[in-house]
Amino acid sequence: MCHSLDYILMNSPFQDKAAWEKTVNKMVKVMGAPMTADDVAAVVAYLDTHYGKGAPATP
Amino acid sequence: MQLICGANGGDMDRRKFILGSTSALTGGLLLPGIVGSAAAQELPAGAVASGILDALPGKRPLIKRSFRPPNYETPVSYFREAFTPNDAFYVRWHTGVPDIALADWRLRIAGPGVKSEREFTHDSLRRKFKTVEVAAVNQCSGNRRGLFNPHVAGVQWGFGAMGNAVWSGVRLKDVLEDAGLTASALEVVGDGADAPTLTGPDFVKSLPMWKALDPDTLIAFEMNGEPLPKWNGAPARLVAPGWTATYWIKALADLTVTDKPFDGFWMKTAYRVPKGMFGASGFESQDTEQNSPITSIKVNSLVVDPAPGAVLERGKRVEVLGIAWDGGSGIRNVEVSLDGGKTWRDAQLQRDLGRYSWRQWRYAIKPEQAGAMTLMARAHARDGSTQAETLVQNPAGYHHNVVQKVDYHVA
Repeated sequence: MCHSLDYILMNSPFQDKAAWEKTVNKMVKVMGAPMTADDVAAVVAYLDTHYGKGAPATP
Repeated sequence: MQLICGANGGDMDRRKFILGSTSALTGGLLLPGIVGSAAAQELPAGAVASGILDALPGKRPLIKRSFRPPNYETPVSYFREAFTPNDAFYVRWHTGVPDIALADWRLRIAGPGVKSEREFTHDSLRRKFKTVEVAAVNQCSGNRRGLFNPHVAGVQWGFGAMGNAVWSGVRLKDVLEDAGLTASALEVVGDGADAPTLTGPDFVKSLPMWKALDPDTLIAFEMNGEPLPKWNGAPARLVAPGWTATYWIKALADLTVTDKPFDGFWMKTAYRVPKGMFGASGFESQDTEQNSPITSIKVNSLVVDPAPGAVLERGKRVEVLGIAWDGGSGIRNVEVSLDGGKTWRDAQLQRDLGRYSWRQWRYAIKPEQAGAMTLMARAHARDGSTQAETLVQNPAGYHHNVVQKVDYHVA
């Protein structure tokens, strides 16, 4: 949609869950990403698990 | 990842140092400054992993930060040239990239700050106004964001979200004065033909009147004597020398002269720095109690050659090449230290190509002791400013101009 997936890998692994939450909320509230509250929670959990602080950063 | 070398092969024979052991080698050539360099080691691990060399149509392989929107960084080795080749010039977009034929291009000037509206084609604009040129560094506000410690979210740029070019076009001032400015004219708002993907804010930026009326502020059609590549804003872009590239609106379509501060997202919310942290913004109508728009480029320098991590031959003279630039006061001097900053000696400045251009510098070293060696470089601007000794943390990761420490190995 707005951006390719490389944005995620590029921004890892230094963001904690709160930081990813801020990013996803900006996507929804500012950039207009069509996501429900449930979508947001699932995406944040996924990003935190795989690209969160301390997660292994491998492509 | 396909490894393709840039156009620097011819220079390599002259570079007598042996390449760092962690550097990727392809046919004997060092890939320009990504793999194994000190810079790469400071980037987030994910940014190192995803920062492959990749060529957009019409461009040489650049360091891909993101494919869509296209954000591609210039490998440092291209900065050996005084002016950055157009096909190696970095690329930065917030949205999709417009592709507009010159014959179809229109520029509209309107708003409460002008006496009469105008619309120009390329021909009518070029015929009516004088062509001028300016040599200027174009540097992304977030250049070196990837080197922030702790890291800051955003495009994780290394050293190459910048380039130096000769920009050619017409003066924004001439065009605005042709439309006639009212007494209430406050800001000039530039909008490009790009549009947001979804319902997000359009990328629109404003300039204060004094900057818009500066004779060096241009509507440029060419860089380095060639039409702008579409990746760099064809058919026309604003050139605001000395200010970060966020103001250099690409694929320029509309100019609106306002009588109130423009309050779009990319002015009011993004591209801001804490008030007073980096001095006065020079853009009072956009200052708030808490923060200011990022505006002028801070004094900075970069070691270009030998690349960080290079192995230098003991007892052999090597000429270090670097560049230095600021927001337009010009470079007064560049100093180099080989003892961790205890003593500094002046580097030799090369030809002055204009106060907005970067200035090349050279410094000869002859390492006598085997082992690790660190070179530091520090630029001083004519306005008395100098580079930061330690990082000035700020929320969006702007103005990274910390004195660089480049590690070599002498053998």
